[in-house]
Amino acid sequence: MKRSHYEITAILRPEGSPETIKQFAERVDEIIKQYEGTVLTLQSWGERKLAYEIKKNLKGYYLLFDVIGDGKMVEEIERNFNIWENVLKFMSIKVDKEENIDALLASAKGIESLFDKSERHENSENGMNPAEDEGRGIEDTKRYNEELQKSLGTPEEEENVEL
Amino acid sequence: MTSYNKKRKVCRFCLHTDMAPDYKNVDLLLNFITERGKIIPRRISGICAKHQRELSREIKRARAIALLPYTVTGK
Repeated sequence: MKRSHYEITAILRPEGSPETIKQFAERVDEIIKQYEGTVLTLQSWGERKLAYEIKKNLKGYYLLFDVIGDGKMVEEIERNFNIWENVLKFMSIKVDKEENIDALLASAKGIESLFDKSERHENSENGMNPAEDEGRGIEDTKRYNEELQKSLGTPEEEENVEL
Repeated sequence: MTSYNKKRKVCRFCLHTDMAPDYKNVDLLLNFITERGKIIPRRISGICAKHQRELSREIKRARAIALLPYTVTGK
């Protein structure tokens, strides 16, 4: 079995409650386990505005599965996504950069990587793992932008204090 | 020879090696599309050929999952 690293993004109908999202993730996890795959992390970007209308929806709930498995598994997941009504759109990407799959497997967190934390703060930053993300995530842009702003200098805050 | 009008642009991704184009990084990709949603040509943005290829691939991925628009029409 040839294993590869995949990133599967699913856009769900925004009406769903937290339970439906959890249910959905568990169903996907079941398929993955059937095909002897592993979920590295599950990330939620929360409800986002869509750049264009999908099936009359202007908003969607984004879930990102970071998965290791074979092509058959991805095929099966995609087949199911096509059937399930609450999936608006999906995209699976094979991560083509050089990686050590065994090392990734060792740090696998499963779908719980999302739900453990989501009870305390439901946030798009959940499940982001800086160690695995190698400086490519959304958080990093924020940091990058902040650093840019710092280097440009923002005197406004100091002025406010003086006033 | 010195050129007077042109300032040599350096590829942003070659400068910041930690920032690779990524379809999940919408804030970054927004810098490289016009307000109509078109990908900015590299003669304007100054990105090197290799990174422009990566960038256009990631923009197209982001479009596929509605993170970026295919077109923005002035309705």
